[in-house]
Amino acid sequence: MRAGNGALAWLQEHCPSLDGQFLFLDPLWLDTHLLSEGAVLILREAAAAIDDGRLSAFEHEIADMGGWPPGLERLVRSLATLPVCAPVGTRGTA
Amino acid sequence: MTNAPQDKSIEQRRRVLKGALGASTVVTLGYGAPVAAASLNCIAKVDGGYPAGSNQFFLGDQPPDLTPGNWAWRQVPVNMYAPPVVAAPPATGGQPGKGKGRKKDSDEQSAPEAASDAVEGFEVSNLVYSTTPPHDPLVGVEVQTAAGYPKVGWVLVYFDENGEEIGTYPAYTMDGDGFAPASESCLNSINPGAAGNYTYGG
Repeated sequence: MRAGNGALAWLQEHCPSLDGQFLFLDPLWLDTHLLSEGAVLILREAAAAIDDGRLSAFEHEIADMGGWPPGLERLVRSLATLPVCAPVGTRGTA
Repeated sequence: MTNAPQDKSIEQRRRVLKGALGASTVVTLGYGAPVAAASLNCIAKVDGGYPAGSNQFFLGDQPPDLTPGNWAWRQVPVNMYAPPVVAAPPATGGQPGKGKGRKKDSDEQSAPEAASDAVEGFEVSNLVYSTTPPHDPLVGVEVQTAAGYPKVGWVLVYFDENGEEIGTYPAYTMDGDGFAPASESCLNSINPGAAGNYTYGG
């Protein structure tokens, strides 16, 4: 079994593909969400930004493109609560 | 000038992200992984891609490669077994562990190799099955000492909707209802405590 810390590792472990959609377990609230492929792509980018300590920049990028789709920002916030073993930088604003 | 390729890649990334944003949907299902299992069961949703038929047994030190799947497998011992007992008078010269009750023993040699009519089998839950497809049960057989044995084999594991193991191939196949093979990611979602008990392969 793979083990790992951080947002991307969580996605790897807790976002299985199901018939073209994805089942995501929220690490903070422990509720589950059915995500489209597009939502997972955004979530993955956000997770990489979280792990790299550049969530704030990614959020600005999303804002420039029209803002978060409904429901997705909360999941990103939850991912941002996960401990990161990579260098700790700015983890985004609450 | 030198930034041109980078600008292009940034622009491509923006385009991909924008498309993804437009195609994003989030449907909240409920609280906790067990709820997910009940409402959108990744076990019950298994509808293909898993090893089928005789491919649910694999002979080798490790399960099949992770590509194309990452299904849960259990290790089983593989040995040589004396063939099934046939209806015959009690053998006068038969010795336990040396093929008691086999039909032919006149040409038998005393070498430690398995008898020539021995067959290779694997053991699951105290039952022995032939390694040769279709993996029929071998009834009334005994393990024989043979060079190169025991070997290692793997059988596909079946789980209920809560991610609890209920059995393995060949006793279980997709022909039944209420159980299915499970991938590592599925087990991690619905029964993470059990996910570490298996080896994963395609």
